[in-house]
Amino acid sequence: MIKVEQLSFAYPGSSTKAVDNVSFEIEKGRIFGFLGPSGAGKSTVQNIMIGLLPLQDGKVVYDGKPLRQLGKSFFNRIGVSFEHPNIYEKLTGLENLHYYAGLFSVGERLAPELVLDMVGLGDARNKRAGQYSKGMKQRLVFARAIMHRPDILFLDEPLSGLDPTTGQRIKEIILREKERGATIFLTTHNMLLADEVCDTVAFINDGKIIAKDSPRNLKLQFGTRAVKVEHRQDERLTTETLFLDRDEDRQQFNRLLSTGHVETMHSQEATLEQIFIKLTGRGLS
Amino acid sequence: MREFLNLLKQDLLVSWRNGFFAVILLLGVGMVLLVNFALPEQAKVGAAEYIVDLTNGRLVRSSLEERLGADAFLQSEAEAREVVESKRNALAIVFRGDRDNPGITILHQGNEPPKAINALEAALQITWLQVADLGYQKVHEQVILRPDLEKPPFSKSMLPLLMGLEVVMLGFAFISVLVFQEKAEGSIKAYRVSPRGAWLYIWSKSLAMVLISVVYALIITVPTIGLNLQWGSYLLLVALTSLLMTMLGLFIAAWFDTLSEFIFPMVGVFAVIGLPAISYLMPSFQLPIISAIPAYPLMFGLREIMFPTGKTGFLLPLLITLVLETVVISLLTRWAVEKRLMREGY
Amino acid sequence: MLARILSIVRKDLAYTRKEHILLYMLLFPLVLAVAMRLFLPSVEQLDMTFAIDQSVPAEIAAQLETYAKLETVTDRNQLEERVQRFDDVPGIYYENGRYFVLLEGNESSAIQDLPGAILDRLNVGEPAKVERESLGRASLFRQFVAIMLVITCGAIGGLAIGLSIVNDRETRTLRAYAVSPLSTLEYIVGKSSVALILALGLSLAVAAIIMGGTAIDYGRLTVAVLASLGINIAIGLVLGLLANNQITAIAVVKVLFIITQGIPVAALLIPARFLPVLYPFPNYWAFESLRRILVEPGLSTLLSNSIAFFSSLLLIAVMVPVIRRKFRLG
Repeated sequence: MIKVEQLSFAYPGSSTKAVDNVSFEIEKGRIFGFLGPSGAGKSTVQNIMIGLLPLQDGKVVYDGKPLRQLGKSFFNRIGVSFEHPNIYEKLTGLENLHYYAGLFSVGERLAPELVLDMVGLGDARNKRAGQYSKGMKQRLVFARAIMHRPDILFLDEPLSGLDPTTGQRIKEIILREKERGATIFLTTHNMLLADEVCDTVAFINDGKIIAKDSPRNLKLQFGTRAVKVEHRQDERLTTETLFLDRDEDRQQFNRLLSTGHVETMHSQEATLEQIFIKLTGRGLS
Repeated sequence: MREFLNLLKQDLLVSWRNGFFAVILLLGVGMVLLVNFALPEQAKVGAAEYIVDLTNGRLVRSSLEERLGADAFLQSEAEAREVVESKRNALAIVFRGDRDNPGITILHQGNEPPKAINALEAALQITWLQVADLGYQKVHEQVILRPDLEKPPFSKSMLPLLMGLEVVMLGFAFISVLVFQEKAEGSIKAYRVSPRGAWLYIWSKSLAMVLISVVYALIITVPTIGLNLQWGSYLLLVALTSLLMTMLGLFIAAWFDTLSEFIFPMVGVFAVIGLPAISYLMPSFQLPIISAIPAYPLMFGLREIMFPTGKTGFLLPLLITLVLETVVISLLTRWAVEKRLMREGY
Repeated sequence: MLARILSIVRKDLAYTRKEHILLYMLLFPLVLAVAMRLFLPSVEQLDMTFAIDQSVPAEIAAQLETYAKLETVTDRNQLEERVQRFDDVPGIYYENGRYFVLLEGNESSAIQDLPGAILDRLNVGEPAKVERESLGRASLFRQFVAIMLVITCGAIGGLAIGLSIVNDRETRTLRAYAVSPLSTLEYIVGKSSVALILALGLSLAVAAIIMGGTAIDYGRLTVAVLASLGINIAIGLVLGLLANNQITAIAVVKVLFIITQGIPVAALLIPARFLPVLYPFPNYWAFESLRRILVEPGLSTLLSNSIAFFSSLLLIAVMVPVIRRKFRLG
């Protein structure tokens, strides 16, 4: 189990906190989605959790052991897939994995060739990584993270730059990793992905967690019934999503209908993205 | 150990793909051509001395012409003044008078150290006594510790200098390339979240660079000196100096963000490291600051190994100094790598 | 046309500022010049060194000091050890009424004979009357350091041009230029102007630092540096053409610097009859101009300046079509 308690962090030379009093827990074998727009503090939290940024304030505990007490061997237990592909461009995909595999001392690991096949890079294994497309690089980074069968996976935007088919493939691997028993910390602003695979999601904005629950509970809380209304206000077309289970939204909906300025109206299920916008007043991307 | 070899292999592979080996081959061939064909066998570094003999009976010229060559003699004092005036490294000596009433004039630039002119004056007095056959009491004897020494030709004697300037710099420049490449492509981030720490990172890269430097040294040495060499001492000295400079390169590179930033300080370091070349070309002048620069022991150590004078026990103190310096630099490098490369946010 | 050039200049300035490149580019030659300036006096006054042990009488030692720097060791063993070190330091000891000059055997013949001649001279007095006439000139070492630093400043300008082109290639900005009305010549001028102005300023500054302000004809120096700027543009263009990323750039720089720095050094070291080997290199002529200005101010620099200027122009002219084709500029 992973426990993060009252984590705060400010970058040197900055007076504002990049992460402010963040706490959460992740049960073993669960997928925890960390959702927020760019610059919200997602990567900072992840970097503190994996020891790349120093722990300034708060606690990070893995299976009852504080992060500070975990030595370098802790890295044998985790796999990290970075948002921006970071690979040796002069080496081939296969050479990249062989090299990286050699850094870990683990009992069981997947053969580099096999992992490349899994992520759909089997045919490109002997091509230099520098010649890969952005999506291929992303998959190579993902393959590198899961190759040594880590207990904990940190996946930062694993689907970025991927086409829907390949994205589906990676999503399936993520779910298989969960079945295997891996705990997964998924950082993303892709709400659909979070909705589909996460057991729990936390919304982070301006360094603070503003909501945290299972996707289903969040949706229940804000109401599953939503209406997207396009209306004219001061000669401008405005779009608004209203949750009919919330009093103030219902009143606004009635107001709009009575003024007669409504142009289009669609009923739909509330999405995590809409809930996020509701909570923060800002979008995710 | 397996992790280390794996990493070393990868660093060598990246070096190969970066064309490092092609670069050393190109440079090495250039050096060999320079030493074997372009540099002259004989060359004199330092002041050019000219003599005007106006003595009765031309006493000086008749006894010294054979040794100094006819080119060293000028016809008149006016000519001597002209030569000294126009050639900025020239000085002229005018002998006049006869055995009973001799006179010597030294025409010099004025930039020579005063002690050197005093010494020249002393040498001229004694030369006069000899050429005028005046006889004098010699109060000294020469004791030569190794009388059978052969001096290598000028061209070959430049080898240790070239090696000191080139081989030493190689690791310094190349390791920075690897570091900035990893920074730019972000692959260093992936290393950060592996269980291997700064030491393995430093040593695998450094040793890869040492291997390349040694290959470079061999490319230059074998075609110029041949195979008759004390290979153990030679390889140890080259490898250790290269290791020291490579770690220094890593230490400095860690503080910069891009290669373009680093390139200017790098040229500066090259300039400083090149200073021992002065001592090498003018070995009678010695300055403690210069002998502390790693290229100094490398140049002179290599000279002794390539052209042995029979010195014994010179290598061990050199190697010990290098090892101690390497230990200090490696600790500094570890600190810098830990602080600047193994952490996020820089 | 001017607007297009200026926009390149502006972009490059912003980039170099952000990367601290400008700072390092400016700082490094100045720091080097100041360091050299501090270091120069000790090199200029480098005296020969003799090692003596305690057997040498004090009054002889005192007299010897007017001829060389003395290093005193305690006994004969130490003296032998000192003589055998890497530098050329002869040793002197006194035994049974005679002086012994201890040599290793590989010293230059001048160094081998001098200590003995001095000892004999101290004994015989002054058989011939010796007069000294000095031209009162300063050390040449200083001039050559100044020349090398001025050349380095120019090379740094070239380096800055080259690195900036490499950056355009790496970030693919060149592709954006390729679909703009920018011509090859405008691109080169835009890339070069700031670097060259800085190189000129730096050259004058380092020369002033080394030579000490007033000892230089700045007008002639400016003309010589201007005449050689084409060489630095050529260096930058070669770098930009050969390297498509910073990694290759450093390898190219390493080879280029052997040419830019090696040719002046070679011109200094090799005997005069071998000099024609260097004539085909434009930077030999730039060196020759600087040498004349700083070392032999009486000589004209018209020819060397002209050759440096026109040969580098020719070099650039040869490269322009290659650049146009390779970078697909107008």
